[in-house]
Amino acid sequence: MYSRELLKGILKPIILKLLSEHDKMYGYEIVQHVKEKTEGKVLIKEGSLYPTLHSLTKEGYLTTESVLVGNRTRKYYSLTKEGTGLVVPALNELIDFQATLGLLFGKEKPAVS
Amino acid sequence: MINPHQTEIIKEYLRTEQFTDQALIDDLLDHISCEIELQMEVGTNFEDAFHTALEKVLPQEPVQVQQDLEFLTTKTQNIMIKKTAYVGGYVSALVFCLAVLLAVLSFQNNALVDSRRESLTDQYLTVNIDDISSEQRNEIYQDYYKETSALKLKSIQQATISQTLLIISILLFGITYLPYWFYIGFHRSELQHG
Repeated sequence: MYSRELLKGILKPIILKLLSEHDKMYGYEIVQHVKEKTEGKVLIKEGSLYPTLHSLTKEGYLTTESVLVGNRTRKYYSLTKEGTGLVVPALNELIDFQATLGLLFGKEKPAVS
Repeated sequence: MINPHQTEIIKEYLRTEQFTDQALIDDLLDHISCEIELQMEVGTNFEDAFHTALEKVLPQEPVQVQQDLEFLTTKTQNIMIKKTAYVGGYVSALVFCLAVLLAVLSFQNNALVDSRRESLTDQYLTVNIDDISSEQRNEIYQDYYKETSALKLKSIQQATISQTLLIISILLFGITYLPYWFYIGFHRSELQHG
């Protein structure tokens, strides 16, 4: 499991990437999806997830749709047009950063695991 | 699926933990509910599942989530207003302390003037003014002035400065921190009821 500090900076690209692959997702679903896909190595803390989701919504990159589930409201997040436009630059920046880290730590392409 | 009463218990918990942002409350309510339902499916009772979910989902200080959210969604301009309000509040508190200090000094000097005046009067009452030379008389007057009038003047000056500082402090507080404080209260009530 990676530290919270390390994950904080890549949370936005993770959310954008996931939402670009799925029509819409809710918070718990995002956490579980990332956990399964990374075999438990990336555990998104709810304390970081929701502030980031709300921040992206306020910036106009995400939109929400509220659905009543039982007696509570579930909010589904999906990408807006601006958000879709942000996916590629955000992922490119992350890949570039990964390569730069490789230069620093001795491997051009760090191992995925 | 958890029942309405159990949902209310979670909502109440979030409210007691000072959450005021309705959108965040909805998100956390759903998230905690999902965690609880997952555990209840394998036979855990609601109370235990709720306790475990809280430990898993929320940090040690739950309201930190809302503070992080406010920080991330607050524009730079608002941060500047906040800084100005805090600096204004700090300076006004500092000026207020100085005003109080000067007021205390002025009061002390005033009390000192009275006691010195009494002691000098007692001292010179025994002297017959006609029997002493004009130089000695001048000396007595100078002594009297030095010990009382000069100190009295100092006390008055201190009181005046103290009053001015008090006005400055109230004005500073009134135009910097107070409007910000009211704005935050208004903003919070809007989030709670809006």
